[in-house]
Formats: sequence, structure tokens, C-alpha cells
Amino acid sequence: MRAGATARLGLFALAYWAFAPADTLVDLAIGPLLVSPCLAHPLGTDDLGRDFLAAVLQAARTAFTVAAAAAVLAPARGSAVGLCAGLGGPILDEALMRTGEIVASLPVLLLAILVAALFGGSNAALVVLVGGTRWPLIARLVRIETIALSARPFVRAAVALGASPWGIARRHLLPALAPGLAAASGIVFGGAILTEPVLALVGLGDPQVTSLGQLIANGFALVGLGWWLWLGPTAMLMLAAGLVAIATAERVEAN
Amino acid sequence: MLTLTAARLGALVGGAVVVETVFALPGLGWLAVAAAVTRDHPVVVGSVVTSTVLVWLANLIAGVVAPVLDPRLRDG
Repeated sequence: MRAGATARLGLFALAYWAFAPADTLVDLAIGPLLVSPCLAHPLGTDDLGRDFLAAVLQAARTAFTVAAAAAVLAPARGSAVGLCAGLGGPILDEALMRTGEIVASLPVLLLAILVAALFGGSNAALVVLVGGTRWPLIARLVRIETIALSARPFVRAAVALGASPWGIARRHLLPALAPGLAAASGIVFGGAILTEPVLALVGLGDPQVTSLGQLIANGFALVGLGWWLWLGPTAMLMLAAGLVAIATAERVEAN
Repeated sequence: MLTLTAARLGALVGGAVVVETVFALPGLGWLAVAAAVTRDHPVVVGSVVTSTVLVWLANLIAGVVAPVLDPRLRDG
């Protein structure tokens, strides 16, 4: 419990911190090149003399933004499908759940490569893709909870009073489903925070925005000149992913 | 267990993309990335469709084999 709360706090602090520096790499002030980590530049400067900590934070912001957008989109879609499957008839239920299984077995990263090749590296397209392929897990969760809740007296009373399925879903089911949905969106967030850096790492990210993957790839080539250029973004990515893992693990266990 | 292994295969193929690119192994994931970087659309579509179908087939095989291995999954 304490570990999860601390991790969540750390994650919020990290996200807040990541929104501090200037917009893109171009906006950073230029100083002496390849300075080792010191007090003025905690992560040194890069091969063009820009403060590397600011660059890493910009990159973390990109990853956080993409992950947060996907973590809203996937549960929204998943709960809509799950509620339809749970409240609708058996044919609708079967159709939606089998579609979900097909979508769930898609290799997301390969589809992301396809999208990047066809539409160029775009984080908006990536959000739509992750949100559009990570929903079956949530849909399954919502469906089974919906079916379980439908047998409970308060939902049966609402049905007896003539409430519409939409009204029941909104007033009675969604509030009861909210804690599970929050935990599930944490899982989506954890997966999505890695997807954007991975795409940028192989050179298929959005070239307009700073990305952890892009920094890691550049830093790896320059690791002989400055070890911090590789270690900084890698450590940031591991820190963010680790904090998400600790924060969600506890939420999932609580449900 | 078998079903779960097949389900994780999609993520594994995604991981292979990274490993193949980083270590320059000429695999299917590397092919997809190399083709995407050079905007070679037919090759990207081909490699992505091939690996997607392979993952689906693996899932299908897992679904068929699971009842053979585990009698509890057979009906009737």
C-alpha cells in the first residue's frame, strides 16, 4: 500500500516536473558542448551544447502525454463495448467478444510501424492505435462485472422501474465499475508509456517532438563521447515505467 | 498456460522488432522497420500482415490444442 502510494506520488511529481522546460529541443539555450554532469547541468549537455536534463524532461513529457491519452481512450472504448456486450443479447455479446479476441491478438507494435510508414511518425495516430487495440481487456472486465451486477437487487429494481439500459449503465453500473476501470487504465498507461519511446528508438517516432527513444538512440551512438547522453534517457524511461508498474500493481491487487 | 503463451506472442513479436533493430539481426521485425524508414510501403504491409497472420495462427493452434492437453476444456 505504502509502496503504491509513494510510486503514484513520484509519478505525479515526475509528470509535473516534465511539463516545466521549453517546448522542443530547438527552444533550448545553447552553451558549451558535452559538459559532464555538474551542478549547473545535472545531466550534462549534449553534442550541441543544450542542457540534457531539460531534453530528457521534454521527452518524458511526450511519453506521459501519449500514455495518458491512450489510457483515456482505451477504457472509454472498452467500457462502451463491455456494457453493450453485458446488457445486450447473446448474439451481440458473442460478436463483440469474438471481435475483441481478434483485436487483442494483434501485434500492436507492428501495426504502429505500419501506421508510421503510411502516415509518417505521428503521436496522434499512435494514441488512436493504442487506444483502438488495448480495449478488449477492459471490455472483458466490464462485461463480466456488468453481468454480475445485473443480478444484484439494485439493478433489478431499476429494471422493474422501467429504466432504459442506457440509464442503468450510466446511473448504476458505471459508478460501480469505476475502481476496476481506474486500475485497468493504469495497465494501459504502463504499456503505452513504452510504446512511444520504442517507436522513436527504431526511428519511426514523431520527428517534431523530443522522445526518450530518440534520445536513447542518439545517446547510444555518442556513448563514447558522453555516457550521460545514453544513461540519462534510459534511466528516465526505466524510472517512469517502474513507477507505473509499482503504482498499478497495488491498484490491481486492491480490486 | 498454453493460451496465455499464445496471447503473449503478439507482444513478443513487438519486442522482436526492437531487438532485431538494435542488434541489426535481419528478421521480420527488422525488415518492417527498414522498409518503413525507406517508405517501402508494399514491404511494410507484407511483413506486418505476415507476422499478424502468424500470431493469429498461433492463437488458433493454441485454442485447438488446449482441449487435447487438458480434458477439462472438452465439452461433453
